[in-house]
Amino acid sequence: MSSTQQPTAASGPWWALLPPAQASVSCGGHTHRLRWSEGRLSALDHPDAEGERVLAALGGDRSECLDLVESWGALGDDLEVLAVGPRSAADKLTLDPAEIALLRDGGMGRPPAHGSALGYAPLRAGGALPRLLRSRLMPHQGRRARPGRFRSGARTSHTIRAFPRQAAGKPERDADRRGGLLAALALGAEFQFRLSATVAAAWSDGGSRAGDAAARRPALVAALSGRVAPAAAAWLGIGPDLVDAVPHEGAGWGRLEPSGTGGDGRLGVALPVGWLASVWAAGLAVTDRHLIVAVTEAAWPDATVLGVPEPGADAVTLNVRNVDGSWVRQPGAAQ
Amino acid sequence: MTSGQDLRPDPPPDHARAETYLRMLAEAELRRIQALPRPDPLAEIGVPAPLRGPVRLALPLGQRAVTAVQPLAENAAQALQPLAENAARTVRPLAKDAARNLQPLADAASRTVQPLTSQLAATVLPVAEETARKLNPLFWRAAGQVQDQLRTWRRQAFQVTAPLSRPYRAVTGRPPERAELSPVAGVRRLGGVAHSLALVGEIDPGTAEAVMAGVETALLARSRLPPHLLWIRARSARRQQQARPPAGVYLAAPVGALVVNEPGSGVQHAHLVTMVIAPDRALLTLAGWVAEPEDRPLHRDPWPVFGRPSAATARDDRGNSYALRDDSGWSSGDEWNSTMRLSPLPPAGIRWLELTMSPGSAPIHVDLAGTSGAAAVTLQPGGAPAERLIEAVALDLLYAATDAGGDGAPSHDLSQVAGIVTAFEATGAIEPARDAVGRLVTLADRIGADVPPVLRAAAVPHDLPAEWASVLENSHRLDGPRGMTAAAAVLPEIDGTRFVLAGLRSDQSGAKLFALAWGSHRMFSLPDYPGFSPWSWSARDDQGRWHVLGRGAYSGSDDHAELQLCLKPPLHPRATSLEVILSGPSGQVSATVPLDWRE
Repeated sequence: MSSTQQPTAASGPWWALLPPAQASVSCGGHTHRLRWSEGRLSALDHPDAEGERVLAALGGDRSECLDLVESWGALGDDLEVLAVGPRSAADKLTLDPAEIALLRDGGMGRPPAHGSALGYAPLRAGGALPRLLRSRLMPHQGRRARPGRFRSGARTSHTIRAFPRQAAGKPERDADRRGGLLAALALGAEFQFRLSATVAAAWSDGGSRAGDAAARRPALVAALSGRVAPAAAAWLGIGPDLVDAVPHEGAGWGRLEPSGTGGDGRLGVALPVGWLASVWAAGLAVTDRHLIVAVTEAAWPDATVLGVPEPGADAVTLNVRNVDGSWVRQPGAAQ
Repeated sequence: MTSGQDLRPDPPPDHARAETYLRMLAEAELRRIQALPRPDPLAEIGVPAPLRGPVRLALPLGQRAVTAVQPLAENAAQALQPLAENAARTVRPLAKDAARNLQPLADAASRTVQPLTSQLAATVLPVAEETARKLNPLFWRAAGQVQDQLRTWRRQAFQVTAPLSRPYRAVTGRPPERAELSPVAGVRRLGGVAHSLALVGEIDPGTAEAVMAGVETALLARSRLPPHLLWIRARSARRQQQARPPAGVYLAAPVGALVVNEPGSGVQHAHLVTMVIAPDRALLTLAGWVAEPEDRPLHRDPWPVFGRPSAATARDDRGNSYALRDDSGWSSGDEWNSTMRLSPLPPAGIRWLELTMSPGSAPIHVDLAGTSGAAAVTLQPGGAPAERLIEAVALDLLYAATDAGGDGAPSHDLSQVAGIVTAFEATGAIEPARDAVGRLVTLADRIGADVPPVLRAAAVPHDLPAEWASVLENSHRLDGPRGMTAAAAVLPEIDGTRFVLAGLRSDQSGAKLFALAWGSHRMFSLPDYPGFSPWSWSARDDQGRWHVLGRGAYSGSDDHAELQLCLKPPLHPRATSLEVILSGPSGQVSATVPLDWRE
């Protein structure tokens, strides 16, 4: 079945069904708060973020909070977020700061600057990676020698760098980016889904990277398949490898097409990339035994959605409400 | 109601089809790995959660180290005990003398002490150095024992399992089921496909790399891969930056001189084989026979044949002087090989060098003028990249068959190439390679290797090529000439890599070709994934006997490598020249070298 004659448009912005989220992070020896709301991450304990950035650019200390906000912004259209991030709510990321720290310098083989990896503070649930870990994951930021910092005695009149600064080639930039990605994902599951939604929204119709989507179609196909497949598998009780998904372009919500029978039965799915932001990231993918294919009205914690009860059937309209983190069909839902 | 949209990905105009295939394969692999049970023995033995990460990282290394080191340590302790006692006996009187001499002088000025301490150092240092020289081979001998033991176990395991495979297949109609691949093995299998798609030009190498980095990072983030794999990847990516051989003139000149070694060097004869001068280094290759043949590899790196430090020198036609220093060395059985480095680097355009290997010995003249190595160095375009890749797999299998000496099917797993052929089918790259797949299947059938059904299905039936038949027919021969020859040849640069042939030694069972390489380490080190080396080597002697070459000893850095390639079957006893053929991703180069044997 498909959708060209059915309503599609999700009313409201892509984050309409993603409520604000907050995490505590260690920043300069203090516990600070990061808050995500309406598609943006902000550092609540750094009211003059712009001023701090200017100071940091002039050689002042950088803060973990602002580094994370900066990384978050840089990752907003990075498709590697979707390659690494969760595929479903059951897909738990277990980022271990000690293990990540031991990746040390992205293979550049320089010695640790701060002693043993065990010196890192353990990652709190919902907390950010501490500065030391960040310095290892992002050596070009974390280890930037600051003038005067390595002066050694009265007879030394020049500044010494702890490590010779290397020109940041692609591998180094990749290590930087990957470090920022893992640090952002380490903020916790709520943030992982919100970051994934941010990226999906950037590449969907009307997003900042929509014009480049054709060139990145393989990555978008994989991102969509990787998330539609477990949802559709849970919906139908088939193996996820039997689900073929592609991005839907054009009018309508997309298309579902069963093929084959019995154990060989496959399901073809075409959904817009925006489905990842508006439906999947909100945890709506399978609700009340329906595969949810679109959001038509959204006013947290209530939503009106289109759901397909079974392959071959038309999509129906459901009213749902989020109750304690789960979507529950509300009585009186319209067909 | 239909939207008119095809559910399959559009036929892409460029690499998108292969990229989509690879990314979807990566998604499937991620799901497969996540479905595997997640054993956590550390939790079971009560290791606190915060410590498990570092312990997980350190444990395998520690276990391996303990396993490997324990017998070594026991052997070494036994072997070193007399040496240590001897050293102690030697040093103790010296120390007593020194103490006696120094005590009255302690009150004197430091200028008095200085010469005495220097004298003490001059006395003790040779003892220490001699001790080190004795310890070094002991260590390598112990390491060689471990390697040999591992090889023996692997061979024994194969001898046990291989005979079981055929009856099982005869009864069930299928090969024995393999255990579920571990996450690491699964990633390596996926990487083999990525690597191969990139090699045949179906996908941009950077994209393949990015896909692999993504899936590995995803698995790391789920504690399904050890972090050191990503560390290795990042390091490897960084090393890949130095991709091309240095520009300039490459020379390979035969030397062909036999020299007398320093007594006690452990080497019976030392042949100065070939002088290679490249834009970034000048190396002299040496080969010979060990005075007291070992039945195990005896690695010495370097092997100080001409004293330590080497007293060997050189001068050129312009009056420049050089030192020749030990660079690397190794042995296996009674064979010994080494390289020495000429320092400083000679300028371009010199016409000859004179080498003086020890003070007072007669200089050895090396003619460099007009020397490009051997005759007839040629560069030929090859077939399609996919065809060459499958051919390389087949040559690997052929080498494995000759190396097994015909005692049953070689231990060669074709399931990886089956995955690659499936990828080629899916991306449309298979067509030019169907004949090659046919030849591979024919070869596998001929030598009794298991052939995955997907390979058989993709193959166009094909006869065994005459060259391969020649190799198989001669694989039992033990009639090779014994000796060594310069085999000096500079091969044309191919696929961003420059190979120089710098010596060939032969015995009754085969031969070993020494080659130097410049370029990206990616091209000459073992691939990160069990795809395939981009290179395959074969050779034909002038008596019509074909040979395949497999990689033996290897030593490499970021942009340079020294390789020993093992040639099978042995050279024809009457062969007077050898055509060496190197196939790479973009074509084939070859050189014909004279076989002027010296014992």
